[in-house]
Amino acid sequence: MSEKKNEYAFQVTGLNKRFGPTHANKDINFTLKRGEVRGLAGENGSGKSTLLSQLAGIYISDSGTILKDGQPYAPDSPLYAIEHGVSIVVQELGLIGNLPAGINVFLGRTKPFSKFGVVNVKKVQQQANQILDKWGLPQVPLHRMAAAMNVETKKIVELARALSTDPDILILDEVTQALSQDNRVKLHKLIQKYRELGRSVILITHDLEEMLEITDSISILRDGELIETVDSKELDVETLRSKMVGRSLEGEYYRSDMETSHEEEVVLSVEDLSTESGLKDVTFQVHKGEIMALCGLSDSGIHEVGKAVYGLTHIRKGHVRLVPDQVEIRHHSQAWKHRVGYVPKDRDNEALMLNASIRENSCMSSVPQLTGKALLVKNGDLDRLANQVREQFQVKCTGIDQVINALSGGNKQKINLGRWLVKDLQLLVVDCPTRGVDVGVKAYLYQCLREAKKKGMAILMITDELPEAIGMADNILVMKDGSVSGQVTRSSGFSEESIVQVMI
Amino acid sequence: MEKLQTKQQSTSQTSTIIGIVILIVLLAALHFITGGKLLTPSNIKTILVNASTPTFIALAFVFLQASGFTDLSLGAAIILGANVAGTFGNMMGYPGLLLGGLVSGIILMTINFCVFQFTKIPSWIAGLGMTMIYEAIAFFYSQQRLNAGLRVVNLESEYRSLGQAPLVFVVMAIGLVLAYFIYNRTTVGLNIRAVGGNQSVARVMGIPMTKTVILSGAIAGIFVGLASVVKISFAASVPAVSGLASLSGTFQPLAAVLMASALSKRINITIGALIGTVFIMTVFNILTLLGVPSGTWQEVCLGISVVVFGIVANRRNAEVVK
Amino acid sequence: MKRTKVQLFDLLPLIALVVLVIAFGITSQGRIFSPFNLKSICTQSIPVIIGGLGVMFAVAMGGCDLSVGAVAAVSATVGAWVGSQYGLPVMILVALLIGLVSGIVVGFIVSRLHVPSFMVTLAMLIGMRGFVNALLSAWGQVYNPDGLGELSSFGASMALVVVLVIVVGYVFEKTSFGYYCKGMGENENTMKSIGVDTAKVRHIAYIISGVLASVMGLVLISSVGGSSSTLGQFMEMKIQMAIFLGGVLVTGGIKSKIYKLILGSLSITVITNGLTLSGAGGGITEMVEGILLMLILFVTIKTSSLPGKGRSSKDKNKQAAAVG
Repeated sequence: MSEKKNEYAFQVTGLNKRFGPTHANKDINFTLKRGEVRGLAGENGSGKSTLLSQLAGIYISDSGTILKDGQPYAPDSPLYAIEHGVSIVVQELGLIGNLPAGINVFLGRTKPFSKFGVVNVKKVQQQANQILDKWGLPQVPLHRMAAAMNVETKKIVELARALSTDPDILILDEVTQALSQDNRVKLHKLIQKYRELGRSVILITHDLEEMLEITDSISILRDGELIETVDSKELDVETLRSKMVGRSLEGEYYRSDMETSHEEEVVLSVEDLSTESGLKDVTFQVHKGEIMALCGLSDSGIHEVGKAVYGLTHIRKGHVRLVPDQVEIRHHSQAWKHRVGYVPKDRDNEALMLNASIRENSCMSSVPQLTGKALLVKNGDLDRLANQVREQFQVKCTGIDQVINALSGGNKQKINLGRWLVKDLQLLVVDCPTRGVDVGVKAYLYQCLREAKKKGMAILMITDELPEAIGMADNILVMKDGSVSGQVTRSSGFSEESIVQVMI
Repeated sequence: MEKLQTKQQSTSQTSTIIGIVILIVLLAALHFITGGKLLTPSNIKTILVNASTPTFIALAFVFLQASGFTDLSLGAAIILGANVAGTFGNMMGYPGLLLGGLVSGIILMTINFCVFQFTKIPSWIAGLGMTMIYEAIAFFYSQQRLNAGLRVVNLESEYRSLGQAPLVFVVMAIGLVLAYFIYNRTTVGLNIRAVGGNQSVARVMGIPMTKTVILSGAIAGIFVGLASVVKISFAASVPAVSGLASLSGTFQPLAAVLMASALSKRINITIGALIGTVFIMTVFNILTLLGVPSGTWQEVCLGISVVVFGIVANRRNAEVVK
Repeated sequence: MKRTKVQLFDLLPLIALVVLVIAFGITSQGRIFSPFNLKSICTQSIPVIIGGLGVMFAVAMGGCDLSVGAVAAVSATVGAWVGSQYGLPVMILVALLIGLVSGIVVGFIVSRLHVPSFMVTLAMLIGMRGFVNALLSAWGQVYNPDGLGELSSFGASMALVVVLVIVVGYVFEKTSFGYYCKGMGENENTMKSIGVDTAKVRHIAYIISGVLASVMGLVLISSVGGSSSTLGQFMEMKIQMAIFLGGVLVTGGIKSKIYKLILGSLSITVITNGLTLSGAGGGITEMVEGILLMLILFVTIKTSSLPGKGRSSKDKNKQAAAVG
């Protein structure tokens, strides 16, 4: 009996996690064998990262049990997880910038290197180096401050940190995205080594081909539920994707027509745009009533284009022109004035005022239109507009005085997008508009965008999800390393393969 | 990537050398302008002795800043600590002086950090409240002594050598080495910097938050204690003040730390704190030599230099600043 | 349930003031309620309110302005010196001009050069204090020009403060500019991504603060007859304390209200006044002031922290940024 149990590294039953009104993970059950490499697949907001964080003790589960090697495992802190042989590399960068990279590898666990509280810094660096060596990772300048390193180097330091505890379960949340091709290969070798040692790996990667290649099995999550676990050999990218998206592909979800449709009038014209944030000679046009999708990997510069178009970054070279108004956008206040809107990617940190009410969040984008003589903003007007946003976009809330942070992600996003759609805009820039919302809201938001298109609004939709771009756009602009690597029109027939080829 | 680094290194080296050359030329010029009074051994000694107390306050600020707090009650804590140190010094000699200063410094700063940590009142406002309380306690204490027919605490001259050259330099050197060591080489120092640098990451890394924050208070307290000892040794008596007047005592060291953090990419901040303090004291000294009285144009220069260093330190900062 | 809690938070400054008045009414055996004393509480609160009206804009956006006391001193001192030669109107003009210029400079450094306001305004405080002392040592005694005493009369100063509260209160509570300031306290990134020119808003906020600081300087100097090195000293700290005693959060935000400033200013005056009338010595007064300040702040923060811990971590970041 006990021997049979020991076959499993993890046995998870009935795991739940809620964030306020959002039910992030519902009754997750799965088992993970020793020596197994498991991938987690699912759309943004399907609960993959939350699940990994629960396993690694970053989030405490609301209910459910986990057995590790047959023993009860109840991680209430990352330290607990580490002590029980579970290590994670998180998606967001998790290093202390003002400490040397080598110290970061062992931070919080410097005891073995210290006598009477004095740390032998040299020994720490040596040990960190040995870890890199042992696992075949590239050497990095460990004496330098973590803040002075690029994203890839930081990721390698984080990997070293996770490996430094010699875990038997390694959890990797979107690690490959930051790595260059040769370091990816090194990581794949590392994973293979883990498999051979009889240890387990759980990982998330957006690159589905990579996932199929390096994993033994894949668990598919949808809206916080673990739908099924499939052997990787039995899958191909197409099936995997349709499993991820599930029912949502049916019906009115995306556009049904296959024709590029927009008016002749150019609204936005971007010429030779170069910025310090890494854009190189980006040129494109968006027409009235057109949905232009901007596709690429997260670091390809797509998000930077959105910021630059809205005048939020310094433009080094080139022009961003609003053709109907004959103005050049240099500053965000100008864009705002000329009926342009911007929905940033990071909803909670950049778009919303979390501790303020629905009223404030719904109205802020329309304040110039609500301002009367002597700069007067009437409370009645604010209430009216907020109620309009609330009703028009079916926001579930107790009233416009409710603090927005008490709403679910989907309702927050409805307000975030709705506050722009109630305005008479000529151009709307949306950056990952459906990130972290469930399928129902997603369909609704797509419908809203389609209606805005019908009314003649030009929409620049930035997205790292290909199906979204294919389902919605008239034209897709593919970006790579800060420049445009290809453009496809809807009429010519979108195919994922062709787009992915230009993307990577 | 490797090539780029070496190139960066060499440019930073050349600019450091250029900086040092400019500094030497500037000092020589100022020496000439002040009629040859600036770089005499005795004047340099004066500058360094004047820099002693502010250096310790600046070092305390370094640890405050590392853990993410701004606390202006340091000035009041030092006045109180100096009086305690003086009292025990007169009773028990040097051991009493040192222990009195250190213990009161550590206790007061630990109390402060507990207040910050547990009440969640933003530290600089809570610091104002603590300033009032500490000023009042010091005031009470002197009042009590006067009522009992005693004089205000006056450290006997036989115990005052910790505030005079050359022994004060030894104390400064010890303090600086201690600060450098704690900041760069100890578990608690690294933990403090982690907590101050990024709280959520530090928590994920398994660093004990409350313990680290309170320990950083105690460490800042060591330097507050040393500042108290040096201050009373230097001046013999430290009168109690009221109505937030002790705040002004923290301005110079705070300015020095702001400078040090502007330099912190090149020079370790603990050493930077000393350099900053000496720099400010030198500017003040030059102005005094030029006949500018203290408390007037000297303060104007201090204010301007803080702003200039602030601008330099934040010139590439694209984040939200309040 | 949430609603009642929010209301409690908004009522808190009033409750604090009432409790303070009753408590000191008892300890002072009713002397606090004498007409003369009530009048003097008002007179003492007036400069705090006037200076606070300007500082509110900076506080609403999550910053601070520690320069107002020193700016008040410089503008009043220079104004009085010029005014004693060219008359009262010139004095007022010069004082306001100095406040304006200082606001422009501080605002420029804070908003365009991205230096934390705590650092800039603290440096201004140090520098301007030194400047006042330099002026006084150069000019010797500086007396007020004729006619300024009128301003210190109860009626005139009350009229001034009422007008300012109405005008500035309108700007703060009812205009788009005030709305932006408060929004920046909630989340400045939001305001930027929406399209608000946050640098411009911040610049204007510090200009308003500078001008009102000089008005405060005029009120302060009118009641003492001439300038001295202690003119307006620590007023900036008193104002900041009054604002936070009034229940305005240090992070600013939509819930920043002018009535909270007024209640806070009265509270802080009542504390000092009540302690004096109750026969407390200098030492006790200061200690009780400190303890009461922290106690009220503690209660305010506890009652405000309903949305979760987001605020406290933001505070920490802010402080780290302020020093670093």
